[in-house]
Order: sequence, then structure tokens, then C-alpha cells
Amino acid sequence: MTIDEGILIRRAKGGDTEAFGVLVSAHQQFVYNLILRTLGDPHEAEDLSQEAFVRAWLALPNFRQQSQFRTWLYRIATNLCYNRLPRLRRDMAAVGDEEVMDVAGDESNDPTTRAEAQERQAFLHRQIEALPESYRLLIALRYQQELSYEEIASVVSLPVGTVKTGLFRAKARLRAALKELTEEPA
Amino acid sequence: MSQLTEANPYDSVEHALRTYPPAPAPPTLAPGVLARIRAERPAARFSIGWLDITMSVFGAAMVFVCGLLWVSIPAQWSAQAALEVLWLRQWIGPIATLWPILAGALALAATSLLLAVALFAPVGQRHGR
Repeated sequence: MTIDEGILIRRAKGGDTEAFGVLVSAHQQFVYNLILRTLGDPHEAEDLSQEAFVRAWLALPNFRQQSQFRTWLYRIATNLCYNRLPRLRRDMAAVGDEEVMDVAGDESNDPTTRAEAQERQAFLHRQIEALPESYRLLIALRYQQELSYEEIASVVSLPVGTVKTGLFRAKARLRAALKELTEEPA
Repeated sequence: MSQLTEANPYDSVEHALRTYPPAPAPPTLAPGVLARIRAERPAARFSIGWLDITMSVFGAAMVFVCGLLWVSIPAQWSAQAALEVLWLRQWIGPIATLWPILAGALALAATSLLLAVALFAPVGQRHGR
């Protein structure tokens, strides 16, 4: 949390709607994106984003500044997604926490052309959108909001191991889809 | 889609995840939020909850029961109780010494209550759940 944000939060706690407006402007894209990537419906994402900020406003007197404001805000947004999709929490918890080890590749070995790489990237982006909501939520938190595993675990109220396993499985699915694409006859 | 040559799937997936574009927030989002929070009624400085009502009813009932008991006590018992009180006063000593003890007990109770509130008050974002 920056010093400025701390001041804005204190002012908003005191009922300053202008200060809260600045906080909304600073965080609206992340909150909207998180909900949109999870639910997939832009109208619903806007409604729930508004609801998340209104709930944050009402709960602001209880916000203790030891925790990060954005993590706290994402938790509110995630809980709204859980309320909207009750099976989402079950799906997330069902991921389990197996020991997973991700393998990093070496980009310099990629022999493909730029056009092919772009085509593959576009295909994978479509595949990300086709993943189950639980995986999309984890991906949005990890890759778009750039949260640590610990922060994600705190936001989704699940163990760190479950978060790591969920992300590992999401990536395994994407790799499987990519494999199918490359093996597909022309 | 044309057939793609095989690339390192780990790199491709990682790269696709990192370049997955975030969706921009609609321009109506922030004004909508502000309109809603301005329309929210400000939190009442004084409000009575169900617990307050329950405690008040219980307290009033206790006072009523005590009053009822007091008026229904036989005269012989109340005379005996008055004697017991007299005996207790003599045993404790002058009534003035009771006030510091009473004040100390009240202060201790208030401190314990404040400590309990500080320790067990709900934390942060539980409203969002």
C-alpha cells in the first residue's frame, strides 16, 4: 500500500466519497477484470464490480490497514463470485493440494516463426477463456493481478497448495489443448 | 487453422498467460459506484440492534421479578433480612469503605470488557464474505 493510498483510505473511512472515488478509479480495472474473467459476462461483471465497491465502502470502517487494500478488495470481489456461482467454491476446494512442480522451458529453443507464435498465442487465449471458472479466477489473480501464491490463497480462502495445484492443472490443460492443435492434421 | 509446428508447450502456455490481455473497466463503473454510495444512507450514529432489545427486555424482566419477590416476601422474612443486613454492616465496618471496593470492581469490569472488545472484535473484510 502506498502512503497516498493510506491517506485516501483514512479519508474514505471518515466518509470522504471523493477519496473513495480515487480508490475506485485506481482499482476498478483489476476488480472488473477479475470478475469478468471468472464469470465471463460483461454486464454481470459490471454489476458485481459495483456491488464489490459498495460493500467495500460499507465495510471500510472495519478495514485494518495491516492488510493490503487491493487484497482485501479482491477478497470481497471473489466472495461475490462465490455467491454468484456457488459451485465455484466447491470446484476450487476440490482441486486438492498435490505436490506439483512446474517446468520452465527455454524460449530460445523455439523454432517457430513469429506468425505461428501469434496464432498459437491467440489460440491459447481462447483456450484460457474456455477453462472452468475456478481456473480462470486463479489465472486472473496470478497473471493479471500479479499476486503471490500466498496472496491468492488469502483472497480465495484456500490453502497455498490448492492454489498451486489449480494453476498447475490449468496450465496442463492448456498444454494438452496446444498439443492437440499441433498434432491436428492440416 | 493451419497446422502449427511444435514449440515448447511450457513456454507457449506461460507466454500466453502473461500476455492474456486484461479487460478495461467500462466507463460507467466508477460513476455508478459513486452514485450508489452517495445514495446510501449514512450509518446511524445511534442504532438499536436485536441484542440491545433482548438485553433490555431481560433486564426489565429481572427488575420486575425482583420487585415482585420483594413485595411478596412475608413481613417476618423481611424483618429477618433487615437484621442480617445490620449484622453484615457491623461485620464489614463503616459503609464508606465499601465505595472504593465497588469503584475498583466496576473499573476492573470495564477494563476487562474493553480488553475483550479489542481482542475479539471482528477484523477487516468479513463483511465481504
